[in-house]
Amino acid sequence: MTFEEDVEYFNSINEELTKEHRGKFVLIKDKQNHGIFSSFEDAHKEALKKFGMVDVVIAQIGVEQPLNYMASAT
Amino acid sequence: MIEMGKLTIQPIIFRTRPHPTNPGQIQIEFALGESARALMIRGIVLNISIEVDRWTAEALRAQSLPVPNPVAVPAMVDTGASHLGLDTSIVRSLNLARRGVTICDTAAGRRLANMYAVSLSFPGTTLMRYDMLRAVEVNLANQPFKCLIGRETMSNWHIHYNGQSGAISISD
Repeated sequence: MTFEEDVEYFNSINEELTKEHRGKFVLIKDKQNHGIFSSFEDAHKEALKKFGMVDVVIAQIGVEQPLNYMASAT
Repeated sequence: MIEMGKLTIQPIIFRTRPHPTNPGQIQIEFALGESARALMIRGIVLNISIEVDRWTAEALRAQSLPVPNPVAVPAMVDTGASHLGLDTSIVRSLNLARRGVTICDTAAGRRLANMYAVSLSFPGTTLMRYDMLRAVEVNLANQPFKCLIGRETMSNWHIHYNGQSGAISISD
């Protein structure tokens, strides 16, 4: 499984998770939901405990993405 | 609100010119208005230090693995950025693991950018240190600053921007 597949997996389950967990954070690795957390930091700590220093997806459920307009970046 | 720290920047710029009455000597004078001009051109740029976040550092130490050295870089305060924006060179230097993605609008167009967790401090100031912040990977290779300080950090700040004098003060 790749990181990109985990991102796609989150996009596919986001709507379903929103029914009960809007605003919370989900931890995804290998296309599996490894828990719902109140904060990004809690999900990050759990990811380190379970998987070590590897790529995971921590995504906020059912919320609009904040504006990121970085005019000085390419 | 308890004031935790404060940073004031008042650039003082001098200019030199040949001394009007003593040939071969130079005259140094306060460049009135240059501070305001410098702020207008550069924006708010601070010296910061970026490290792996506290929890990652603890996990590395627990496994007797080396913790990457902090990276000291200039950073620009950017109200357009939601989180920290980190140049790719910093992400590589700290060997960060990805923690998700976010949508970014940049000069090169809209794209998905990787997200990471880092810690942030402001050496030489009393501004609060952040043990864990979310950071977005961006390409700042052509910029004199290598980090953007976004609204997540600014949500803890009171910023006073005096465009007329060129003075900045930040407190938290």
